[in-house]
Amino acid sequence: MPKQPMLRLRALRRTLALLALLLLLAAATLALATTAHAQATKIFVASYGNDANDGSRGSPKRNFQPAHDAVAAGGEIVVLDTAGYGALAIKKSLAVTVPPGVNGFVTVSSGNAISITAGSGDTVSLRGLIVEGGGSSIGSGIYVGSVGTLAIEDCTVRNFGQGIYAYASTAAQIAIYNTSVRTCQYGLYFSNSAAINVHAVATGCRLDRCTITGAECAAGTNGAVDLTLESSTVHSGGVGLLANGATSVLLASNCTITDNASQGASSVSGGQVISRVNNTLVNNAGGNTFPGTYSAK
Amino acid sequence: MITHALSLRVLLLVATAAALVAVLPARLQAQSSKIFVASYGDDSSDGSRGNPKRNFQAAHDAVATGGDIVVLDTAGYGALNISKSVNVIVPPGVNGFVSVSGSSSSGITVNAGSTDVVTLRGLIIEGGGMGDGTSGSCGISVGPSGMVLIEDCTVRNFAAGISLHDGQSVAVYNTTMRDCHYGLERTNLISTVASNCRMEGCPYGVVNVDDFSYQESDPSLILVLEKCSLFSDAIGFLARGKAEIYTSNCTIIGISDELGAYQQNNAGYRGRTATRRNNNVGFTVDDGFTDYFSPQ
Repeated sequence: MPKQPMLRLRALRRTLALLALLLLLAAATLALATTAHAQATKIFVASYGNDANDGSRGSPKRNFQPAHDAVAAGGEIVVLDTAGYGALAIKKSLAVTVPPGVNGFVTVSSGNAISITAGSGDTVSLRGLIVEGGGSSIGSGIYVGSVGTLAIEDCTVRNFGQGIYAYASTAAQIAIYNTSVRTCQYGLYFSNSAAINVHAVATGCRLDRCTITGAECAAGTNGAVDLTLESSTVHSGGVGLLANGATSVLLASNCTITDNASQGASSVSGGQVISRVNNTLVNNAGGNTFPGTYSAK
Repeated sequence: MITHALSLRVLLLVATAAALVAVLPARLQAQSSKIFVASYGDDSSDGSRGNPKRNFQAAHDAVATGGDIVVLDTAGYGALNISKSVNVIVPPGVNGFVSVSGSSSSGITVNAGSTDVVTLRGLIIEGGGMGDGTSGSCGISVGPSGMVLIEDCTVRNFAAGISLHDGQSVAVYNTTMRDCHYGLERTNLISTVASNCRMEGCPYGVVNVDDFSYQESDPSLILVLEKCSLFSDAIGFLARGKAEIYTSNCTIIGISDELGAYQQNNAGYRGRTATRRNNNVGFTVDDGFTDYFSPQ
Protein backbone atom coordinates (compact mmCIF):
# COMPACT_ATOMS: atom_id res chain seq x y z
CA MET A 1 0.00 0.00 0.00
CA PRO A 2 1.47 3.38 -1.07
CA LYS A 3 2.37 5.91 1.65
CA GLN A 4 0.11 8.79 2.22
CA PRO A 5 1.27 12.22 0.85
CA MET A 6 1.46 13.61 4.41
CA LEU A 7 3.83 10.87 5.43
CA ARG A 8 5.96 11.46 2.34
CA LEU A 9 6.20 15.14 3.17
CA ARG A 10 7.35 14.29 6.72
CA ALA A 11 10.03 11.94 5.38
CA LEU A 12 11.24 14.65 3.01
CA ARG A 13 11.40 17.14 5.88
CA ARG A 14 13.36 14.71 8.01
CA THR A 15 15.85 14.13 5.18
CA LEU A 16 16.22 17.87 4.61
CA ALA A 17 16.73 18.50 8.32
CA LEU A 18 19.37 15.78 8.45
CA LEU A 19 21.10 17.27 5.43
CA ALA A 20 21.05 20.75 6.99
CA LEU A 21 22.50 19.34 10.18
CA LEU A 22 25.27 17.62 8.28
CA LEU A 23 26.04 20.83 6.36
CA LEU A 24 26.12 22.78 9.59
CA LEU A 25 28.49 20.27 11.13
CA ALA A 26 30.77 20.40 8.09
CA ALA A 27 30.81 24.21 8.17
CA ALA A 28 31.56 24.22 11.89
CA THR A 29 34.41 21.75 11.41
CA LEU A 30 35.84 23.87 8.60
CA ALA A 31 35.51 27.07 10.63
CA LEU A 32 37.13 25.39 13.59
CA ALA A 33 40.06 24.23 11.49
CA THR A 34 40.53 27.71 10.01
CA THR A 35 40.34 29.33 13.44
CA ALA A 36 42.75 26.81 14.88
CA HIS A 37 45.16 27.59 12.04
CA ALA A 38 44.89 31.33 12.60
CA GLN A 39 45.39 30.78 16.28
CA ALA A 40 48.67 28.87 16.10
CA THR A 41 50.94 30.44 18.70
CA LYS A 42 54.10 29.59 16.79
CA ILE A 43 54.54 29.99 13.07
CA PHE A 44 57.81 28.82 11.57
CA VAL A 45 59.57 30.29 8.53
CA ALA A 46 62.43 28.80 6.52
CA SER A 47 64.38 29.25 3.30
CA TYR A 48 62.64 26.12 1.99
CA GLY A 49 59.20 27.17 3.22
CA ASN A 50 56.13 28.10 1.27
CA ASP A 51 53.59 30.75 2.16
CA ALA A 52 50.80 28.33 1.29
CA ASN A 53 51.96 26.01 4.10
CA ASP A 54 50.34 26.08 7.51
CA GLY A 55 53.51 27.38 9.19
CA SER A 56 53.98 24.37 11.44
CA ARG A 57 57.49 23.11 12.28
CA GLY A 58 57.33 20.58 9.45
CA SER A 59 55.62 22.89 6.94
CA PRO A 60 57.10 26.35 7.45
CA LYS A 61 56.13 29.46 5.62
CA ARG A 62 58.59 31.43 3.48
CA ASN A 63 58.05 35.06 4.46
CA PHE A 64 57.48 37.09 7.60
CA GLN A 65 54.27 38.82 6.50
CA PRO A 66 52.21 35.68 5.85
CA ALA A 67 53.61 34.29 9.12
CA HIS A 68 52.48 37.45 10.93
CA ASP A 69 49.03 37.19 9.40
CA ALA A 70 48.72 33.54 10.43
CA VAL A 71 50.08 33.66 13.98
CA ALA A 72 47.87 34.29 16.97
CA ALA A 73 48.12 37.63 18.74
CA GLY A 74 50.84 37.24 21.34
CA GLY A 75 52.42 34.41 19.36
CA GLU A 76 55.83 33.91 17.89
CA ILE A 77 57.42 33.78 14.45
CA VAL A 78 60.43 31.48 14.62
CA VAL A 79 63.16 31.51 11.96
CA LEU A 80 64.55 28.06 11.20
CA ASP A 81 67.46 28.83 8.88
CA THR A 82 69.44 31.57 7.19
CA ALA A 83 67.56 33.49 4.51
CA GLY A 84 65.88 36.80 3.70
CA TYR A 85 62.27 36.92 4.91
CA GLY A 86 60.94 40.15 3.45
CA ALA A 87 59.46 43.32 4.88
CA LEU A 88 57.07 43.07 7.80
CA ALA A 89 54.15 45.23 8.97
CA ILE A 90 53.29 44.31 12.58
CA LYS A 91 49.78 45.08 13.80
CA LYS A 92 49.47 42.97 16.95
CA SER A 93 51.40 41.49 19.89
CA LEU A 94 54.14 39.35 18.45
CA ALA A 95 57.67 38.02 18.90
CA VAL A 96 60.03 37.49 15.97
CA THR A 97 62.87 35.21 17.03
CA VAL A 98 66.04 34.44 15.10
CA PRO A 99 68.22 32.09 17.15
CA PRO A 100 72.00 32.39 17.33
CA GLY A 101 73.51 30.41 14.47
CA VAL A 102 71.02 31.73 11.95
CA ASN A 103 71.00 34.95 9.93
CA GLY A 104 67.46 36.26 9.48
CA PHE A 105 67.55 39.11 6.98
CA VAL A 106 64.98 41.74 6.19
CA THR A 107 66.34 43.48 3.11
CA VAL A 108 64.43 46.24 1.32
CA SER A 109 65.38 48.68 -1.40
CA SER A 110 62.88 51.37 -0.35
CA GLY A 111 60.35 52.15 2.36
CA ASN A 112 60.31 50.75 5.88
CA ALA A 113 61.68 47.27 6.51
CA ILE A 114 59.72 46.63 9.71
CA SER A 115 56.74 48.81 10.53
CA ILE A 116 54.89 48.53 13.84
CA THR A 117 51.39 49.94 14.12
CA ALA A 118 50.03 47.81 16.92
CA GLY A 119 47.58 48.54 19.72
CA SER A 120 48.38 50.58 22.80
CA GLY A 121 48.40 47.42 24.93
CA ASP A 122 50.38 45.28 22.50
CA THR A 123 53.84 43.86 23.16
CA VAL A 124 56.29 43.29 20.31
CA SER A 125 59.78 41.82 20.43
CA LEU A 126 62.35 41.50 17.66
CA ARG A 127 65.44 39.38 18.20
CA GLY A 128 68.46 38.58 16.09
CA LEU A 129 67.43 40.26 12.84
CA ILE A 130 69.71 41.84 10.24
CA VAL A 131 67.73 44.70 8.72
CA GLU A 132 69.16 46.26 5.57
CA GLY A 133 67.94 49.24 3.59
CA GLY A 134 68.35 50.75 0.20
CA GLY A 135 70.43 53.78 1.14
CA SER A 136 71.29 56.08 3.99
CA SER A 137 68.46 58.51 3.25
CA ILE A 138 65.68 56.05 2.52
CA GLY A 139 62.96 54.80 4.89
CA SER A 140 63.34 53.31 8.35
CA GLY A 141 64.80 50.02 9.47
CA ILE A 142 62.30 49.66 12.32
CA TYR A 143 59.46 52.19 12.37
CA VAL A 144 57.17 52.49 15.40
CA GLY A 145 53.84 54.22 14.79
CA SER A 146 52.06 52.71 17.78
CA VAL A 147 52.77 50.00 20.35
CA GLY A 148 52.56 49.36 24.07
CA THR A 149 55.92 47.74 24.72
CA LEU A 150 58.68 47.02 22.23
CA ALA A 151 61.93 45.10 22.82
CA ILE A 152 64.69 44.93 20.20
CA GLU A 153 67.61 42.60 20.94
CA ASP A 154 70.74 41.49 19.10
CA CYS A 155 69.76 43.16 15.84
CA THR A 156 71.79 44.92 13.17
CA VAL A 157 70.17 47.79 11.27
CA ARG A 158 71.98 49.49 8.45
CA ASN A 159 71.56 51.78 5.49
CA PHE A 160 68.34 53.67 6.15
CA GLY A 161 67.24 57.26 6.62
CA GLN A 162 66.36 56.29 10.20
CA GLY A 163 67.68 53.13 11.81
CA ILE A 164 65.12 52.79 14.62
CA TYR A 165 62.46 55.47 14.44
CA ALA A 166 59.59 55.92 16.88
CA TYR A 167 56.93 58.48 16.03
CA ALA A 168 54.41 57.05 18.40
CA SER A 169 50.76 57.90 18.81
CA THR A 170 50.45 55.57 21.83
CA ALA A 171 52.30 55.75 25.13
CA ALA A 172 55.22 53.44 24.40
CA GLN A 173 58.00 51.73 26.35
CA ILE A 174 60.89 50.81 24.08
CA ALA A 175 63.96 48.78 25.10
CA ILE A 176 66.90 48.15 22.76
CA TYR A 177 69.65 45.75 23.75
CA ASN A 178 72.95 44.80 22.12
CA THR A 179 71.97 46.22 18.79
CA SER A 180 74.07 47.87 16.10
CA VAL A 181 72.77 50.73 13.96
CA ARG A 182 75.08 51.99 11.26
CA THR A 183 75.32 54.07 8.12
CA CYS A 184 71.97 55.77 8.59
CA GLN A 185 71.16 59.47 8.78
CA TYR A 186 69.61 58.98 12.21
CA GLY A 187 70.56 56.01 14.38
CA LEU A 188 67.96 55.99 17.18
CA TYR A 189 65.26 58.64 16.86
CA PHE A 190 62.39 58.93 19.33
CA SER A 191 59.43 61.25 18.95
CA ASN A 192 55.68 61.34 19.53
CA SER A 193 52.86 62.21 17.18
CA ALA A 194 50.32 62.82 19.98
CA ALA A 195 50.31 64.09 23.56
CA ILE A 196 51.71 60.88 25.00
CA ASN A 197 54.98 59.81 26.59
CA VAL A 198 57.67 57.69 24.95
CA HIS A 199 60.20 56.13 27.31
CA ALA A 200 63.18 54.35 25.79
CA VAL A 201 66.28 52.59 27.06
CA ALA A 202 69.23 51.38 24.97
CA THR A 203 71.98 49.24 26.49
CA GLY A 204 75.10 47.85 24.86
CA CYS A 205 74.33 49.44 21.51
CA ARG A 206 76.70 50.58 18.80
CA LEU A 207 75.80 53.58 16.67
CA ASP A 208 78.35 54.06 13.90
CA ARG A 209 78.41 56.51 11.03
CA CYS A 210 74.96 57.97 11.58
CA THR A 211 75.55 61.14 9.65
CA ILE A 212 72.97 63.46 11.25
CA THR A 213 72.49 62.14 14.81
CA GLY A 214 73.51 58.96 16.58
CA ALA A 215 70.71 59.11 19.16
CA GLU A 216 68.04 61.80 19.29
CA CYS A 217 64.96 62.60 21.36
CA ALA A 218 62.60 65.08 19.72
CA ALA A 219 59.32 65.43 21.58
CA GLY A 220 56.34 67.26 20.18
CA THR A 221 54.88 70.14 22.17
CA ASN A 222 52.92 67.82 24.45
CA GLY A 223 54.11 64.63 26.06
CA ALA A 224 57.60 63.65 27.13
CA VAL A 225 60.20 61.69 25.19
CA ASP A 226 63.24 60.30 26.94
CA LEU A 227 66.05 57.88 26.21
CA THR A 228 68.42 56.34 28.73
CA LEU A 229 71.57 55.29 26.89
CA GLU A 230 73.77 52.88 28.84
CA SER A 231 77.14 51.29 27.96
CA SER A 232 76.86 52.23 24.31
CA THR A 233 79.22 53.62 21.69
CA VAL A 234 78.39 56.52 19.39
CA HIS A 235 81.14 56.86 16.83
CA SER A 236 81.99 58.68 13.65
CA GLY A 237 78.63 60.33 12.97
CA GLY A 238 77.37 63.92 12.81
CA VAL A 239 75.96 64.86 16.25
CA GLY A 240 76.45 62.05 18.74
CA LEU A 241 73.59 62.75 21.17
CA LEU A 242 70.86 65.33 20.70
CA ALA A 243 67.78 66.35 22.69
CA ASN A 244 65.44 68.63 20.78
CA GLY A 245 62.45 70.24 22.47
CA ALA A 246 61.48 71.22 26.00
CA THR A 247 60.18 67.80 27.02
CA SER A 248 63.02 65.79 25.48
CA VAL A 249 65.59 64.22 27.78
CA LEU A 250 68.54 62.02 26.85
CA LEU A 251 70.48 60.45 29.75
CA ALA A 252 73.91 58.93 29.09
CA SER A 253 75.81 56.56 31.37
CA ASN A 254 79.02 54.61 30.73
CA CYS A 255 78.98 55.57 27.07
CA THR A 256 81.78 56.42 24.66
CA ILE A 257 80.99 59.20 22.22
CA THR A 258 83.88 59.92 19.91
CA ASP A 259 84.93 61.06 16.45
CA ASN A 260 81.64 62.76 15.63
CA ALA A 261 82.08 65.40 12.95
CA SER A 262 79.75 68.01 14.41
CA GLN A 263 78.98 67.66 18.15
CA GLY A 264 79.47 65.00 20.78
CA ALA A 265 76.48 66.00 22.91
CA SER A 266 74.08 68.81 22.16
CA SER A 267 70.69 70.12 23.17
CA VAL A 268 68.42 72.55 21.35
CA SER A 269 65.05 74.19 22.00
CA GLY A 270 65.08 73.39 25.70
CA GLY A 271 66.00 69.72 25.41
CA GLN A 272 68.29 68.12 27.97
CA VAL A 273 71.27 65.86 27.31
CA ILE A 274 72.50 64.87 30.74
CA SER A 275 75.32 62.68 31.90
CA ARG A 276 75.97 60.50 34.95
CA VAL A 277 79.54 61.83 34.72
CA ASN A 278 80.96 58.48 33.78
CA ASN A 279 81.13 58.84 30.00
CA THR A 280 84.05 59.20 27.62
CA LEU A 281 83.29 62.17 25.41
CA VAL A 282 86.44 62.92 23.42
CA ASN A 283 87.66 63.91 20.01
CA ASN A 284 84.36 65.20 18.66
CA ALA A 285 84.52 68.37 16.57
CA GLY A 286 82.51 70.18 19.29
CA GLY A 287 80.26 69.39 22.21
CA ASN A 288 82.88 67.58 24.29
CA THR A 289 81.08 68.41 27.52
CA PHE A 290 77.53 67.53 28.47
CA PRO A 291 75.02 70.35 28.85
CA GLY A 292 73.91 68.84 32.17
CA THR A 293 74.43 66.02 34.67
CA TYR A 294 72.40 63.69 36.85
CA SER A 295 73.33 61.65 39.90
CA ALA A 296 73.43 57.93 40.34
CA LYS A 297 70.84 56.77 42.82
CA MET B 1 75.61 41.86 -53.35
CA ILE B 2 72.75 43.31 -51.33
CA THR B 3 71.71 39.82 -50.30
CA HIS B 4 75.27 39.11 -49.20
CA ALA B 5 75.38 42.32 -47.12
CA LEU B 6 72.03 41.49 -45.59
CA SER B 7 73.08 37.99 -44.60
CA LEU B 8 76.23 39.47 -43.06
CA ARG B 9 74.09 41.90 -41.04
CA VAL B 10 71.81 39.07 -39.94
CA LEU B 11 74.87 37.06 -38.93
CA LEU B 12 76.21 40.03 -36.98
CA LEU B 13 72.85 40.52 -35.28
CA VAL B 14 72.65 36.86 -34.30
CA ALA B 15 76.23 36.93 -33.00
CA THR B 16 75.51 40.07 -30.93
CA ALA B 17 72.36 38.53 -29.50
CA ALA B 18 74.24 35.34 -28.63
CA ALA B 19 76.97 37.36 -26.92
CA LEU B 20 74.35 39.30 -24.95
CA VAL B 21 72.65 36.10 -23.85
CA ALA B 22 76.02 34.75 -22.74
CA VAL B 23 76.91 37.92 -20.83
CA LEU B 24 73.48 38.47 -19.24
CA PRO B 25 73.57 35.61 -16.70
CA ALA B 26 77.05 36.68 -15.62
CA ARG B 27 75.83 40.24 -15.07
CA LEU B 28 72.78 39.04 -13.14
CA GLN B 29 75.02 36.90 -10.97
CA ALA B 30 77.36 39.83 -10.37
CA GLN B 31 74.42 41.93 -9.21
CA SER B 32 73.16 39.58 -6.55
CA SER B 33 73.02 41.41 -3.23
CA LYS B 34 73.59 38.23 -1.23
CA ILE B 35 76.11 35.55 -2.02
CA PHE B 36 76.15 32.47 0.20
CA VAL B 37 79.18 30.32 0.97
CA ALA B 38 79.27 26.87 2.51
CA SER B 39 81.58 23.94 3.17
CA TYR B 40 79.69 22.04 0.49
CA GLY B 41 79.70 24.96 -1.96
CA ASP B 42 81.46 25.34 -5.28
CA ASP B 43 82.97 28.51 -6.72
CA SER B 44 81.37 27.79 -10.06
CA SER B 45 77.93 27.88 -8.41
CA ASP B 46 75.88 31.07 -8.62
CA GLY B 47 76.13 31.74 -4.87
CA SER B 48 72.39 31.53 -4.24
CA ARG B 49 71.01 30.03 -1.01
CA GLY B 50 70.64 26.64 -2.67
CA ASN B 51 73.88 26.80 -4.66
CA PRO B 52 76.50 28.43 -2.44
CA LYS B 53 80.06 29.22 -3.38
CA ARG B 54 83.03 27.74 -1.59
CA ASN B 55 85.41 30.65 -1.00
CA PHE B 56 85.21 34.25 0.15
CA GLN B 57 87.14 35.70 -2.77
CA ALA B 58 84.85 34.17 -5.38
CA ALA B 59 81.87 35.38 -3.35
CA HIS B 60 83.34 38.89 -3.06
CA ASP B 61 83.88 39.08 -6.80
CA ALA B 62 80.30 37.97 -7.47
CA VAL B 63 78.38 40.03 -4.91
CA ALA B 64 76.92 43.45 -5.71
CA THR B 65 78.54 46.49 -4.15
CA GLY B 66 77.07 46.95 -0.67
CA GLY B 67 75.87 43.35 -0.58
CA ASP B 68 76.39 40.49 1.87
CA ILE B 69 78.56 37.41 1.87
CA VAL B 70 76.68 35.03 4.16
CA VAL B 71 78.37 32.00 5.71
CA LEU B 72 76.06 29.01 6.03
CA ASP B 73 78.20 26.53 7.95
CA THR B 74 81.55 25.97 9.63
CA ALA B 75 84.54 25.80 7.26
CA GLY B 76 87.66 27.65 6.12
CA TYR B 77 86.85 30.14 3.37
CA GLY B 78 90.27 31.39 2.29
CA ALA B 79 92.02 34.76 2.26
CA LEU B 80 90.07 37.76 1.05
CA ASN B 81 90.98 41.03 -0.68
CA ILE B 82 88.14 43.52 -0.39
CA SER B 83 87.86 46.29 -2.97
CA LYS B 84 84.28 47.54 -2.50
CA SER B 85 81.46 47.96 0.04
CA VAL B 86 80.59 44.52 1.36
CA ASN B 87 79.48 42.74 4.54
CA VAL B 88 80.94 39.37 5.53
CA ILE B 89 78.58 37.80 8.04
CA VAL B 90 79.16 34.66 10.09
CA PRO B 91 76.34 34.01 12.57
CA PRO B 92 77.04 32.87 16.12
CA GLY B 93 77.16 29.10 16.23
CA VAL B 94 79.11 28.88 13.00
CA ASN B 95 82.90 29.15 12.70
CA GLY B 96 83.98 30.95 9.56
CA PHE B 97 87.75 30.57 9.30
CA VAL B 98 90.28 32.47 7.25
CA SER B 99 93.52 30.51 7.69
CA VAL B 100 96.73 31.41 5.89
CA SER B 101 100.02 29.62 6.31
CA GLY B 102 102.86 31.81 5.00
CA SER B 103 104.59 33.99 7.59
CA SER B 104 104.06 37.06 5.39
CA SER B 105 100.52 36.22 4.26
CA SER B 106 97.61 38.36 5.39
CA GLY B 107 94.11 37.14 6.12
CA ILE B 108 91.82 39.96 5.02
CA THR B 109 92.97 43.06 3.18
CA VAL B 110 90.71 46.08 2.69
CA ASN B 111 91.70 48.29 -0.20
CA ALA B 112 88.48 49.99 -1.27
CA GLY B 113 87.09 53.41 -2.17
CA SER B 114 86.99 56.38 0.20
CA THR B 115 83.23 56.07 0.81
CA ASP B 116 82.99 52.28 0.88
CA VAL B 117 81.63 50.56 3.99
CA VAL B 118 82.97 47.15 4.98
CA THR B 119 81.68 44.92 7.79
CA LEU B 120 83.45 41.82 9.07
CA ARG B 121 81.48 39.83 11.61
CA GLY B 122 82.15 36.58 13.40
CA LEU B 123 85.35 35.54 11.62
CA ILE B 124 88.28 33.54 13.01
CA ILE B 125 91.45 34.66 11.22
CA GLU B 126 94.61 32.62 11.69
CA GLY B 127 98.09 33.37 10.42
CA GLY B 128 101.44 31.69 10.01
CA GLY B 129 103.12 33.21 13.07
CA MET B 130 103.90 36.58 14.63
CA GLY B 131 107.67 36.39 14.02
CA ASP B 132 109.50 39.53 15.10
CA GLY B 133 106.75 41.76 13.74
CA THR B 134 108.54 42.75 10.55
CA SER B 135 106.99 40.34 8.08
CA GLY B 136 104.08 42.68 7.36
CA SER B 137 101.49 39.94 7.74
CA CYS B 138 98.14 41.19 9.06
CA GLY B 139 95.05 39.42 10.23
CA ILE B 140 93.00 42.36 9.00
CA SER B 141 94.80 45.08 7.05
CA VAL B 142 92.72 48.24 6.66
CA GLY B 143 93.85 50.45 3.80
CA PRO B 144 91.77 52.98 1.84
CA SER B 145 88.08 52.77 2.86
CA GLY B 146 85.18 54.85 4.14
CA MET B 147 84.17 52.85 7.19
CA VAL B 148 85.25 49.45 8.44
CA LEU B 149 83.42 47.63 11.24
CA ILE B 150 84.95 44.57 12.82
CA GLU B 151 82.70 42.64 15.23
CA ASP B 152 82.92 39.37 17.12
CA CYS B 153 86.14 38.27 15.40
CA THR B 154 89.22 36.44 16.63
CA VAL B 155 92.58 37.22 15.03
CA ARG B 156 95.71 35.32 15.96
CA ASN B 157 99.27 34.55 14.89
CA PHE B 158 100.15 37.49 12.66
CA ALA B 159 102.78 40.21 12.76
CA ALA B 160 99.86 42.62 13.27
CA GLY B 161 96.44 41.43 14.36
CA ILE B 162 94.50 44.39 13.09
CA SER B 163 96.52 47.02 11.25
CA LEU B 164 94.91 50.37 10.43
CA HIS B 165 97.05 52.35 8.05
CA ASP B 166 94.57 54.21 5.86
CA GLY B 167 90.85 54.94 5.59
CA GLN B 168 88.36 57.23 7.27
CA SER B 169 86.81 55.42 10.19
CA VAL B 170 87.15 52.08 11.98
CA ALA B 171 85.20 50.51 14.85
CA VAL B 172 86.31 47.26 16.48
CA TYR B 173 83.80 45.55 18.77
CA ASN B 174 84.03 42.42 20.88
CA THR B 175 87.11 41.14 19.09
CA THR B 176 90.17 39.23 20.31
CA MET B 177 93.72 39.83 19.04
CA ARG B 178 95.90 37.04 20.33
CA ASP B 179 99.55 36.06 19.86
CA CYS B 180 100.30 38.80 17.38
CA HIS B 181 103.42 40.99 17.59
CA TYR B 182 101.16 44.04 17.46
CA GLY B 183 97.60 43.43 18.60
CA LEU B 184 95.86 46.56 17.37
CA GLU B 185 98.09 48.89 15.38
CA ARG B 186 97.19 52.27 13.99
CA THR B 187 99.55 54.45 12.01
CA ASN B 188 97.42 57.13 10.41
CA LEU B 189 94.68 59.63 11.13
CA ILE B 190 91.70 57.31 11.17
CA SER B 191 88.73 57.79 13.49
CA THR B 192 89.03 54.68 15.61
CA VAL B 193 87.20 53.20 18.56
CA ALA B 194 87.65 49.76 20.10
CA SER B 195 85.16 48.44 22.62
CA ASN B 196 85.03 45.16 24.54
CA CYS B 197 88.18 43.88 22.87
CA ARG B 198 90.94 41.65 24.16
CA MET B 199 94.65 41.86 23.35
CA GLU B 200 96.40 38.82 24.74
CA GLY B 201 99.93 37.48 24.47
CA CYS B 202 101.09 40.27 22.17
CA PRO B 203 104.54 41.89 22.57
CA TYR B 204 102.66 45.15 21.89
CA GLY B 205 98.97 45.16 22.81
CA VAL B 206 97.89 48.48 21.35
CA VAL B 207 100.08 50.69 19.19
CA ASN B 208 99.19 54.20 18.09
CA VAL B 209 101.92 55.97 16.18
CA ASP B 210 102.20 58.71 13.61
CA ASP B 211 104.36 58.18 10.58
CA PHE B 212 106.80 61.00 11.50
CA SER B 213 105.33 63.30 8.86
CA TYR B 214 103.13 65.02 11.43
CA GLN B 215 103.72 68.61 12.43
CA GLU B 216 103.06 70.30 15.73
CA SER B 217 100.00 72.01 14.24
CA ASP B 218 98.46 68.78 13.01
CA PRO B 219 95.67 67.18 15.02
CA SER B 220 96.72 64.37 17.32
CA LEU B 221 96.01 60.82 16.38
CA ILE B 222 93.55 59.83 19.04
CA LEU B 223 92.67 56.22 19.68
CA VAL B 224 89.81 55.47 22.08
CA LEU B 225 89.46 52.14 23.86
CA GLU B 226 86.70 51.19 26.25
CA LYS B 227 86.13 48.07 28.29
CA CYS B 228 89.11 46.34 26.73
CA SER B 229 91.28 43.72 28.43
CA LEU B 230 95.05 43.59 27.98
CA PHE B 231 96.46 40.41 29.38
CA SER B 232 99.95 38.99 29.36
CA ASP B 233 101.33 41.37 26.76
CA ALA B 234 104.91 42.65 26.88
CA ILE B 235 103.95 46.31 26.43
CA GLY B 236 100.31 47.20 26.89
CA PHE B 237 100.11 50.52 25.12
CA LEU B 238 102.60 52.24 22.88
CA ALA B 239 101.97 55.78 21.70
CA ARG B 240 104.62 57.41 19.57
CA GLY B 241 104.82 60.79 17.91
CA LYS B 242 101.76 62.99 17.91
CA ALA B 243 99.49 60.27 19.10
CA GLU B 244 97.31 59.71 22.14
CA ILE B 245 95.51 56.71 23.56
CA TYR B 246 92.41 57.22 25.67
CA THR B 247 91.25 54.24 27.70
CA SER B 248 88.21 53.90 29.89
CA ASN B 249 87.10 50.98 32.04
CA CYS B 250 89.90 48.78 30.73
CA THR B 251 91.54 45.89 32.55
CA ILE B 252 95.32 45.75 32.29
CA ILE B 253 96.83 42.69 33.93
CA GLY B 254 100.14 40.85 33.74
CA ILE B 255 101.90 43.33 31.45
CA SER B 256 105.67 43.98 31.45
CA ASP B 257 105.21 47.71 30.86
CA GLU B 258 101.79 49.20 30.96
CA LEU B 259 102.81 52.10 28.81
CA GLY B 260 105.59 53.09 26.53
CA ALA B 261 105.28 56.61 25.16
CA TYR B 262 108.27 57.20 22.99
CA GLN B 263 109.87 59.60 20.62
CA GLN B 264 108.79 63.06 19.71
CA ASN B 265 106.03 65.62 20.08
CA ASN B 266 103.21 64.83 22.44
CA ALA B 267 102.80 61.09 22.55
CA GLY B 268 100.52 60.29 25.40
CA TYR B 269 98.31 57.95 27.29
CA ARG B 270 95.21 59.12 29.10
CA GLY B 271 93.52 56.60 31.29
CA ARG B 272 90.31 56.47 33.26
CA THR B 273 88.93 53.94 35.69
CA ALA B 274 91.27 51.14 34.68
CA THR B 275 91.82 48.00 36.69
CA ARG B 276 95.59 47.44 36.89
CA ARG B 277 97.14 44.47 38.66
CA ASN B 278 100.26 42.34 38.51
CA ASN B 279 102.08 44.48 35.96
CA ASN B 280 105.86 44.55 36.19
CA VAL B 281 106.73 48.15 35.64
CA GLY B 282 103.59 50.18 35.82
CA PHE B 283 103.75 53.32 33.78
CA THR B 284 106.95 54.28 32.02
CA VAL B 285 107.24 57.41 30.01
CA ASP B 286 109.96 58.30 27.61
CA ASP B 287 109.57 61.84 26.30
CA GLY B 288 105.80 61.67 26.40
CA PHE B 289 103.17 61.99 29.07
CA THR B 290 100.75 59.94 31.00
CA ASP B 291 97.63 61.49 32.34
CA TYR B 292 94.12 60.86 33.42
CA PHE B 293 91.13 62.41 31.78
CA SER B 294 87.92 63.35 33.42
CA PRO B 295 84.79 61.47 32.65
CA GLN B 296 81.99 63.57 31.23
